[in-house]
Amino acid sequence: MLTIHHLTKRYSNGTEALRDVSLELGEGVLGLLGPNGAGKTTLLSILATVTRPTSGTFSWQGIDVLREPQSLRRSLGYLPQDFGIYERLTAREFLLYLGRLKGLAGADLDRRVGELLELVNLHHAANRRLGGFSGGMRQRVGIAQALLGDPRLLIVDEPTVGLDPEERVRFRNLLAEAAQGRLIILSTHIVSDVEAIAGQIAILRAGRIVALRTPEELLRSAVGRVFELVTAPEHLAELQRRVAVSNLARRADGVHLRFVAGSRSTLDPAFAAAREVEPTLEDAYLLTELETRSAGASS
Amino acid sequence: MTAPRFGSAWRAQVGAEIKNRLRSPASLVAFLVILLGSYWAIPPANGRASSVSWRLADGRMQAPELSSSYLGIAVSVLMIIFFLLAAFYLVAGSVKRDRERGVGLLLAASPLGKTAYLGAKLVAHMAFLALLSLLAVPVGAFHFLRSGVGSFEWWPFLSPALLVVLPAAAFVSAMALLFDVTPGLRSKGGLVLWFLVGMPLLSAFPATQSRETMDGPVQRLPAFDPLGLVMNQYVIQSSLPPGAGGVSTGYVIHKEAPERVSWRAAAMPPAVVASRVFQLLWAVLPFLAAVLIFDRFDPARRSGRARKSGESTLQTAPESVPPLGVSSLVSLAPVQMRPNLGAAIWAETRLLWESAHAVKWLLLPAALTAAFLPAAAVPFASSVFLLLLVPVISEVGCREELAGAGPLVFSQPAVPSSVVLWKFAAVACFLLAVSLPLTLRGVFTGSLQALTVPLGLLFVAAFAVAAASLSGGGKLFSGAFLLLWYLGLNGLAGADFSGLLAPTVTWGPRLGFTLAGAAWLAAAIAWEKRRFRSAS
Repeated sequence: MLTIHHLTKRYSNGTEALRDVSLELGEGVLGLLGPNGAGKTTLLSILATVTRPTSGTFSWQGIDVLREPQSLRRSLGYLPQDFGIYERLTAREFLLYLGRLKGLAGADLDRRVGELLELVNLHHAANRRLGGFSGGMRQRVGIAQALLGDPRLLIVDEPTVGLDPEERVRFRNLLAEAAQGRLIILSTHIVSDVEAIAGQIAILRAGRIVALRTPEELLRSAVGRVFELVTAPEHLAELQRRVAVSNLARRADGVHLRFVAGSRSTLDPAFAAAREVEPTLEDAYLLTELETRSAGASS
Repeated sequence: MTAPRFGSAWRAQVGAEIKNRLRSPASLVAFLVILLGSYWAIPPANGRASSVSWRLADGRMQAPELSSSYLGIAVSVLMIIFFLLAAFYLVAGSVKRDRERGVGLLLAASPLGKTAYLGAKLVAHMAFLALLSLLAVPVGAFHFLRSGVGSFEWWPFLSPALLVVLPAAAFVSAMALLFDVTPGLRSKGGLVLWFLVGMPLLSAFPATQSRETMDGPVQRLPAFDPLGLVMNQYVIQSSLPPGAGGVSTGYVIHKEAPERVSWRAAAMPPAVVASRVFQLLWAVLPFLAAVLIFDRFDPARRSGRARKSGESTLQTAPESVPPLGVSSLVSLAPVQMRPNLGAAIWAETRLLWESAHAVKWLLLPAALTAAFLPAAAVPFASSVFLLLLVPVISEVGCREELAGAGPLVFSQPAVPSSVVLWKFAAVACFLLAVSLPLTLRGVFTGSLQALTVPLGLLFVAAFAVAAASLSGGGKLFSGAFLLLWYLGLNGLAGADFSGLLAPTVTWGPRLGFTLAGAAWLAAAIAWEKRRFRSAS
């Protein structure tokens, strides 16, 4: 469905936000992970036809999007990371406006807006001005507008920012359900969001795709490389300097230090008492980051 | 960490404000517009227009030669017009922007008090307005170098401008702050209110306080004259030849070229200087009121009306939360999308109306009133209609940029590749619709206005969209529109873009404005393409 060929984006100040990114994506959810500044938002905004790449191409259903952006826009639902709203409009008016720009009209449009307001749980606030909405409510308006036109490609950049835990779970379930017959690209820092719904995970670092795997493959790659050590608080600072810590918890018996490493054999003797634990996707992501960084340092 | 001292926090805020303002491309545009406007607004000595003129007892009209003393007065007249018409609009909205862009919440969490914050804004506004208004001084000097007579005298040339600038900048800045922090006034309705109430307050009120009759001579310096309007007339009046009267100041176009005479403005007496120092105090009142009213960006102190209507950002809990895990995406009925240019123009035209301030409700009554009044009353009634358009359309060309809604809007399938042309079409449709009563009046009375009104409003649509798109804000359009409006209403046929303000309608200006509209649009489209290329 979506084929990306050697996309590169260089800004006028010389920053290379994307470097030669190529991907071939079909139906399902692609989770996009990466540190701040990795190029996730740039990639998504290019795919949403809002930004042009410096070089490279991408096609949707076989049509070159850079030549014919409308071909993709007709199928697109896009929720940017930072988006503004027109504060004087009510939630319903704002959705009606964007619906018209999608080419919806009449009863179809009215019905769809009503359904979406219900879906994102904003029906009670439909006629309130957006200027008075909280961050979470604005985010839900953003989610609703992304679903306005039955999108076959849904691009969502940090969609759960500002949502409370209940709304986050609701939205995650919604995406999982929507993945049927659609391509969803989900960029987030919340690894558990990706873990729950993504069929594939792409890890982006310094503008490059450094890993493209299923969650199971990522988890398998971390088996035997995640450890936990219970230590006294006074040793903590010293130990933290030597390993990549994925979690810390202060308990009655000391500090539980969870960390990732190449393998047990490469561990410092100070960690001899560490026990191997079941990896999570967050551990696996950290390990990939660690490997990419050390590969970068050695090259 | 030690607590920051008031002085250092205040200086930091002033520095940030001034840097932010000077680095804005809109400031560069304002500088250029003021320079060019000042050059154009000081008339040459051989034409029909003058900045100062008077009538002798025998009916002859006289105006001064371009001496340095006269140019000093002409510059100060120009500065007063700037402070009266444009200055407020150039600085209003800065606290509102901090509020909308979230900077306010960061400042609210800092040790900076509201007096220091507003004080810093006041100083930054004053500095900016003083800088802009004083640009007229080198332009005056240039006129002297080009066609001045006599020797150049520094003090007579500079003193009128120096006496005008500080009290005027302080008062207008303080009023802008007061409007900015007052709920109801900080919206676009406040901008219109300033035009309708603030300007008469600054011009007509001091005049009534200084004369026995409105067209009589100035008899005393009024207690309230922050812009120095009456002060200037007082000085000019003291310098007239014996028997002269009927002083006109501004950009006055005479039926025939006035006789040019050697003239020197009287030296500023100490009473005038003392009066200007006193005028500075008028800025204190609105500033203190602003400090009292300012909520320091505390959302809990929003207006009662906003709270009642549930608009408080603090009230966010939904009334009922459906059970977790239940989603109804599959139950959405399928929809048919037919994206096309017509749909996009219709959406934008509707948005213009829906997102406009409450003044929009006056537009149609104003157009209807102007359409049914006798011909003699049409210019004034139409001027109200034209004025009401400004807050509705001034920011359309950069709406997405200002609201940060670009990614949502520009990724929609109906939006055409040229946003400028799309916006122009929408604004044009909107203007042609709301002005229909005026066009129909022209049709039924067989007047040229049946053509000039739509043509003039197409110019307005092009200029509004292009100026906002090029400058990233609505002030360039608002300022230039108001200037044209003012000149048109004062009988300058060449400035009457709509054919509604001047007593007679001619084709020359129509052609000029149509070409100007097309040129603005072309520039905005070129800029749009350039931005697109550089983003690639």
